[in-house]
Amino acid sequence: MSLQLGAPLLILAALVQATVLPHLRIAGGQPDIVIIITMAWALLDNGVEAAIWALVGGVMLDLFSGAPMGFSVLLMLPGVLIIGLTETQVHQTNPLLALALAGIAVVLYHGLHIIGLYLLMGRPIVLMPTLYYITMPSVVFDVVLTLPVFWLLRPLYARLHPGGVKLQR
Amino acid sequence: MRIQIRRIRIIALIAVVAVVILVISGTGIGNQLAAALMVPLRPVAGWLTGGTMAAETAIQGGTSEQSERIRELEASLASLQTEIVRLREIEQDYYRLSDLLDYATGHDDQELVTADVIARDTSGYLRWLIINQGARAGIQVGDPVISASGLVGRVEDVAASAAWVRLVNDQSSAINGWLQEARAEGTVVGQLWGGLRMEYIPQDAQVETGDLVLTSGLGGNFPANILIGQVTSVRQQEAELFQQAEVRPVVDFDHLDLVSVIISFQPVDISIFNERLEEPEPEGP
Repeated sequence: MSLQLGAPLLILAALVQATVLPHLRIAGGQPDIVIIITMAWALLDNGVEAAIWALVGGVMLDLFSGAPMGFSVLLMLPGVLIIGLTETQVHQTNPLLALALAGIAVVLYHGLHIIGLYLLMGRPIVLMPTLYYITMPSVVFDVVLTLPVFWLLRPLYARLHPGGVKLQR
Repeated sequence: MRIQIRRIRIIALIAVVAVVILVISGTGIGNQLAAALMVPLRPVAGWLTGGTMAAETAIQGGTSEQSERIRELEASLASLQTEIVRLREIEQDYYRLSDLLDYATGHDDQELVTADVIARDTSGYLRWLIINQGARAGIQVGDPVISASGLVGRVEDVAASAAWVRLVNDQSSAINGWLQEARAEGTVVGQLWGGLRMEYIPQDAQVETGDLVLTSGLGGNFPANILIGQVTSVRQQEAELFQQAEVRPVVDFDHLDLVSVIISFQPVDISIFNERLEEPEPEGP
């Protein structure tokens, strides 16, 4: 059920990321909404559903990219795993912890992205300019937007998992 | 603990699936998969890009009449720039009494396919475009892509009805270019922040700000004399073997909506080098 809803959402998110968001770049960065949605779902879920979302979203991202298909999936999974290894209730009641976990997941994604592009595509690593021009603005966007998306997805998660964890107000 | 092990197992399984997808992505199956996925998404992407461009133009350019006028003037400017390049070439050739190059009929050998830009790379680290024409229109990997202003990039991947284009300002792009005034060659490489830099310019070349950078055609990957950019600054140090020049691209990559793919052109003849290699060594006395 989660994937029936998640797949169209992620496809739409990838389309928006490839068509609309490149025109809204600020300071060289743009929000990676597929990653934001996947990480927000990982914060709600125990990580298993989010991993499947990462598979769908990652393939869609790579379809609109020069990177090989499957690349983004592998980049998102460590973040999903880290979030999944923590207790769901803790970050549902503690926004700061949720923010910290999202931050770690997003930084991991971007760090692995730079390394992966070097290993798979032979792309040179120019560390400081890359961090300054691309990584930092994107990480800020992603982390800041993960929490609102997390709050937006909470009712949906509760609806899809009525017998699951009771959300606290 | 058991639940966490189960989670790790599922995530590991998905990682294996991702690795399999990654491995097949460069093969025929991977290309077919990408092509199949692209079929339903292509019109939606085109519609979203078109809508975004229209909204952006409306916000930035005021009324539609004004934007239309701006478009006309931009097209006219691009055409004049191309004309200036062509005329300067003829002038230079004239002064050098060179009758080897004839730019008046220089582009008869090229066959073009026009395509709309339907999406841009989702990764902030890569500068690629996706266009709505592919193998069915005769596009092949390696084909040069141009706009009315100048060189855009090169086709790196092709599906039946879409193609992936690496822009010249992508960090891993390197193109043989030459400076029109200085008559010197070099390599134009993309920069992380979207600019261009010309490297390996000989130290004795007189590079000036404003000098135009064109494709040299060496290597046979691009036709010669497509406008790439204009020199904005030069870095020359005596201790180094070569000088470098920062180049401003003539193409506005962020607002590209229409491009042309050169599917057929006559590459610069470099067969002379092969002939030299094949020549038998002169016999001794």
